[in-house]
Amino acid sequence: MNLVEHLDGVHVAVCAGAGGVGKTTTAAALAAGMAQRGRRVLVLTIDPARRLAGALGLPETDDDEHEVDLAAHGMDGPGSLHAAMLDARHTFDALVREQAPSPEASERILRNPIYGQLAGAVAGSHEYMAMERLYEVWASGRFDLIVLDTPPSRHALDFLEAPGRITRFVDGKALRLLVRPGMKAGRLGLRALPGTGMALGAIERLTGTALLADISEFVAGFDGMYEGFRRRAEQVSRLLASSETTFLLVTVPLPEPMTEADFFWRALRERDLPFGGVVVNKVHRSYVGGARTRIRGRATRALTAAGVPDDVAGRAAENLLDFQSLADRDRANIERLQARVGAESIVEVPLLDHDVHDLEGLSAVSAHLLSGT
Amino acid sequence: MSLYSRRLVIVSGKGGVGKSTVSAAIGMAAAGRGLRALLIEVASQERMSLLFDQGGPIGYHETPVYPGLDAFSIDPERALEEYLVSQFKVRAMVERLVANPAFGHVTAAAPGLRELVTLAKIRQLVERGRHDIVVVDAPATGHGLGFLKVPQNFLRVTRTGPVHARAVWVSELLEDAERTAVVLVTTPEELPVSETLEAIADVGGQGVPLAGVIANAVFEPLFLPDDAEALAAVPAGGDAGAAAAAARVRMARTADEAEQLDRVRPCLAELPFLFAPRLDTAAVAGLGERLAAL
Repeated sequence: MNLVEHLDGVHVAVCAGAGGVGKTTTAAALAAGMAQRGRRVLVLTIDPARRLAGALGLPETDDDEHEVDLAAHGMDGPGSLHAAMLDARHTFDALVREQAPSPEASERILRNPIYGQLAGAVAGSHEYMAMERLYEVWASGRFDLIVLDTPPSRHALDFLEAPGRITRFVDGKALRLLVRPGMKAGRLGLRALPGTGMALGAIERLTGTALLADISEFVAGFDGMYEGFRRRAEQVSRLLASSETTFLLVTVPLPEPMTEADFFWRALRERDLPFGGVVVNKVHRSYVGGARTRIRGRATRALTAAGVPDDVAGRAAENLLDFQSLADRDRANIERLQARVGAESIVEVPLLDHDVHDLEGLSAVSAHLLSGT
Repeated sequence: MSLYSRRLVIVSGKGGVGKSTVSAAIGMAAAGRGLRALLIEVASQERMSLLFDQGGPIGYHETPVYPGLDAFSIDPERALEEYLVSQFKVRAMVERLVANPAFGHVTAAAPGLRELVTLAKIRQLVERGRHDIVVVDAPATGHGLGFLKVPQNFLRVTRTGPVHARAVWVSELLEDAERTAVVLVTTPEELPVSETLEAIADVGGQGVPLAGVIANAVFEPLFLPDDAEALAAVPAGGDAGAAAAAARVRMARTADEAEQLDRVRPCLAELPFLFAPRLDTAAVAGLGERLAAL
């Protein structure tokens, strides 16, 4: 597929996929390539490996937007590339400060131990914050294209579901009913729902009173902010579902990541979200055709004829058979994916000879991604 | 101290490095040493059912998957219900409780409750005594170390009560270097190695005993130092050119891998890259043999 044409038509590209498939590299390479082609691009990335962060000129200490010097690496063009590293806690804190009715109210929430856990460790909070930051940048209009590298998760689907979980939580009507507006923090307004008293009594028996008091304070702190959170969640959902956005699934040609890509593809369709295509990374190139059983013999004879000593020829022939079997395996896996999503939706990136961790490497990946074949 | 003298081995690592495979291989190696081993997967991942060709899910119970090795898939919702029943004794009440929206919302506000009951279930399985060793295929490091931090988080937000006691109980086992060890799995690549180094620091900071790193999918030495020269003169194209090109790729990647592995060496073990198109039980058993001496 022609990714350049596709990306020219959108303002947001979300790269999703399982852990370890090269999402960060793909997002950075797409962003650099589109910047070279004239667009003002921001890549929002999550915890890139140190050398990649260094290559992009990202300090490790903040989550600001930094301009990447493409010209210094022979990737100059009419556009520009900025990069920022997402920090979930930082974004969440900023959101609370923005939404809280007063500085005292925001401080009360930021100090609450329940908040500390919610913003820091919970599965889902990173995903939510990625979307929050994405929306904020998009609304600012500072960039033509935002490429979002989604957080690592075993199931890429977590990304679509986590924000819903978090907004349901802070926005939960049932939870809101637990605390009467204006009630003193630390005391729960109970029995608003049938069975609530029983449920809270049970929880209190399990956790002691301190946890419930903290939760109560936390919920009370969010009182008056639900509306803001709910509105923001709706805005993000609308943006993601609009024609401004595309979802690119990133995978490698191995059975499990491919299964997850297929799963995610179906999830996008069920949710009516815009599917852009699948990037298959680390595809082993094919070296020879013909029957597998003859490869070793053929290569040994050819190498010997070219003057290579017998033992070296034997090792090289064995290795050729091994590498060809990887190519055959990858091809079979890609063909299965093609049967599902259509060959025109797939872009392959070959396994490069070296790991990608600098702008030159990104440039090579970018050339494959955006070559239009 | 041998890995196999531990009661609990927790396996984590970056996504995509082969944690489940290595967990299964450790379980098979333990069984091969004559131990009764239990392999646990969390959050209903059901990867073991594929690795061991079960033809169906492992489920929330001990399922024999290999001679001397059982598997158990912990569904956190089941573990939570089981815990509640142990506390409140009356199943009907627990069913009402779990169905109650207020309960769902408040427990969602105490993040990590499901992880805590999962860890508690693990300790229960360790101490039930039916197995000599329990191997846990833990979540990926990004999430996985969060998983191990959960009891400490609960100790901070609860001061008293049964959940606090539960967190103390789980921490005791996690921090006991006689009984517990964490194994980090990596592949010999930049990103996974960097994440492993961060995880090593993180595990150390938490007081959970680290046994070491297992490098997975490492190209085994095949070519000799002089082979590159012998192949250099082979012209491009044809079968000979293809073989020489493939050899150069392997040599280049082997050199890159060595550079990355040097950042985490010495490893507990280095497992070979497998060229087979599909990872079957026999292949995992082969990896297990390489881990038999840990």
